[in-house]
Amino acid sequence: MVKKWRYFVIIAVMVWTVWALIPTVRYYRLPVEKRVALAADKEAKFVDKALKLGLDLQGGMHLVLELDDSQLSDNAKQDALDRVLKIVRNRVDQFGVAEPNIQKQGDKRIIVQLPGLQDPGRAKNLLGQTALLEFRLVRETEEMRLAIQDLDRVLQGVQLRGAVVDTTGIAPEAPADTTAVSQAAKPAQTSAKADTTGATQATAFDSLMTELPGSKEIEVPLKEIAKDRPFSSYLVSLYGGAAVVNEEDRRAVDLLLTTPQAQRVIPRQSEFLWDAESRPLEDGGVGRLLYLVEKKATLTGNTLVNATTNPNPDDPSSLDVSFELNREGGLIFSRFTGENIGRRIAIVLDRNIRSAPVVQSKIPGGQGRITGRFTDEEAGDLAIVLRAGAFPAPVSVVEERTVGPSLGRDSIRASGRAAAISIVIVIAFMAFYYHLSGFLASAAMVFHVLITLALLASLRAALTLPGIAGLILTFGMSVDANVLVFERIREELAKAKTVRSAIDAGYHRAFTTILDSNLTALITALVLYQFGTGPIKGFATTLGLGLATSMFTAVLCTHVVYNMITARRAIRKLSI
Amino acid sequence: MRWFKNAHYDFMSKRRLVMLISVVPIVIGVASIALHGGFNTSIDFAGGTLVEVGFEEPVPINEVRAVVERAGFAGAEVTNFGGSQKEVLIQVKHIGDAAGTARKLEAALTEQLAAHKVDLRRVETVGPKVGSELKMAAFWAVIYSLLGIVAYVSWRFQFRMAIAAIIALVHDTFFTLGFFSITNREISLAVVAAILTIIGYSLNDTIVVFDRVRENLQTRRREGFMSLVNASINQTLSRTIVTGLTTIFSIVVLIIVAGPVIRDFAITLLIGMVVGTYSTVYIASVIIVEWDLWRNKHRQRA
Repeated sequence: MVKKWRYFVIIAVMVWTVWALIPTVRYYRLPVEKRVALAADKEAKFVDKALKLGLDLQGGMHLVLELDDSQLSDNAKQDALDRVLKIVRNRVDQFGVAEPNIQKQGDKRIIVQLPGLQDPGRAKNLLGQTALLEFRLVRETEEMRLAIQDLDRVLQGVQLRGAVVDTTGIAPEAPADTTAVSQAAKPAQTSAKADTTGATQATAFDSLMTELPGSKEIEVPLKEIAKDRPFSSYLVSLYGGAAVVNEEDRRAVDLLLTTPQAQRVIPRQSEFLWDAESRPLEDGGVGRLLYLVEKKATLTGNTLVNATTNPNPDDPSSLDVSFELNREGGLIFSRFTGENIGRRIAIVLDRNIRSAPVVQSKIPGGQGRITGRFTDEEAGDLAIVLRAGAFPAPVSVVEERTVGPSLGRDSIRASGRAAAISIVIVIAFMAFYYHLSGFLASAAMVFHVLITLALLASLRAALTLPGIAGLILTFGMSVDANVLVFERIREELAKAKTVRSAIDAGYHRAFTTILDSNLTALITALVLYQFGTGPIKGFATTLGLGLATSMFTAVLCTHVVYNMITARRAIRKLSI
Repeated sequence: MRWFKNAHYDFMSKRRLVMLISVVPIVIGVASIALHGGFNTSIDFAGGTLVEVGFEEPVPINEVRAVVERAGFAGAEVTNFGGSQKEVLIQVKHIGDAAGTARKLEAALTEQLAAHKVDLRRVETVGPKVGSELKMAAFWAVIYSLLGIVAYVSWRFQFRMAIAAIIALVHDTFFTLGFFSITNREISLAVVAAILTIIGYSLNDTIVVFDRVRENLQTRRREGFMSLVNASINQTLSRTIVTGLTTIFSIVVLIIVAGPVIRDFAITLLIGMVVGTYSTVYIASVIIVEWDLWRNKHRQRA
């Protein structure tokens, strides 16, 4: 009995497979440069329908960002991830990557996939920044002075593990990374001693020139005096509204500032923040500025409507970033600057001070500049990040898999070769062992691989390196289905049945076996898909699809071909 | 061309002895795992940073190691990858700030080894939380697989066959894990995927035999169960060998031709496949035979 529908199904599948694979063939026949150009052009639809290569094959970056929403209110938590998603999309859009893939994962994570990415470091920087822009008032020198005094007072006797702050004010040893701050059980200093120290310090500070708008500032080195200056010994000088600290001492100063004693004396409305960049010191070496700023930001970047790069008027060879605030922000900014002429305002990005210019006059237009030693790329990226907006809470990179393009190319070449060789060997063996039937089975198996690839392409699933391994595996395993059938047919032939009935009986008997064995393998593929990430998911996808299609080709297709052959004339001997 | 045309090997006669011998590698494997205090996990599970670099010419590994140490990562594993002096793999495990570590390493390598034309082939960072999540996910993946299998096989065959099949799978898994532990190879996500594939393949093999047993039970009930099982194995021997051979061909090709990343995966698969075929005969089949014998003994008493 010839079931006509079978022919139709097979022909339909063949036609569909060829049609589904045409975009892929078109796409990959183009030279590389044309491909990149097309990828950027979102109009070229056939690019989308071509088989996608996984990141491990074409090179690219896979990032998982996690949101730390512990500090957010419950209300904010709900849409925090969505906001982060939107901001990430904005930043990536402006970055200009072809076919980025950005998705939520669970309720705290976002997956970002950037295929063909050439500069992963830049992408990580761009995406990892919170980009919180704030404008804060810098505390006057007097306040800074008092704070330093207080710190000197309460931090006496505090030890850094491995070194003691002594009279000569030697900096702690290099492994400052592992130092912890511990308390020495020392009796409190007598107040008399503290007073004299304070007096000495006051003299040193008084010698500083107060800052007048337009006056040139002079760097005034602080002299090392006594061991009762555990904090200020690390300060090289005061300059530009901030304390100058040697870059090597930065960690030590940070540690001192985080001690409970220090926290108690730092004025409640203020906090210490570092400058974003280090600077060369006059006598060689590298230093960094430490500012005392108001804790509360007068203005944040959420009022920012635009940020662009412009040549720096003071130094036309480099760029700075100009920003523009909305009306509300503009008004606040205008008032802020108007009230604080002569004082410094710090422009803070992610809790690092980008610059702290002196307010010369009221700024009414809601526009300003951020200057710094930017490369053109850094300025551009800063503008991008400001435009896209700040994350509502800190975001960190918890997983990254980046494959350089060279490795991707090598992998494609190697796995392509492996696949080709596999196929040839298996076909040869099948033909050798099962004769003409072996050829038929081989044709079916090749068809099976093509269908799987076509399915992948149409599902927009990416082919990964483990995916190719999975394909090679299912190719070997699809052999199994054919083998089961052929062995059965041989058995039936041995029982002296006619060729037709032997074939039918073979397929009939083998079908349940094939079904059971393939379904159990499918269970593992499903589980792998569910629990796997990235490349493993790719493996599971190709494995699962491969198993399903192999059942189709091995059982239906070859049977139909046999039917076609035996329908014509009565075959007495089957080449199997 | 017909191999094993009328195979009549007696697999079951020496079964108890062979099964006893099978236990040995498992015990050794488990002991090794216990001695090592767990598995040697890659950064996928332990968390950490991995950087693979390629150079234009061979670079002495000590030079690379010195650069890595200077960057502050004295405890890092620095090895040549894939048997080539031009490829180096650097791993720093159990690190809190994996992403920052990667950046520092990348910077140090590209700056200080620029003379050798550094090519950052691959960078992977896994934060510690993600690492332990992946571990849990891998664990549950295996458990759920096994549960699904028990359910399916019990439904389509018999419960005792399901148990026998599961025990065979557990044997295969521990054999593979034991092998990894003894040779101190790393267990990564790819290895877990390989183990799941092995489970699938071994099960496949077992199902084919059990399917034949199921069929024979309908027609050859008179025969003793042990002889029936033996016959079933013999009848499917031809298929087992052919399928096994073609699959092994594919994997060997992978091992030879594909890059080092896939090679480890493929070697695992190869071992697992051989063991999987073995376990079908000398674990799963033996169990159902013994089960039947045990049941008969008790029935006789009753």
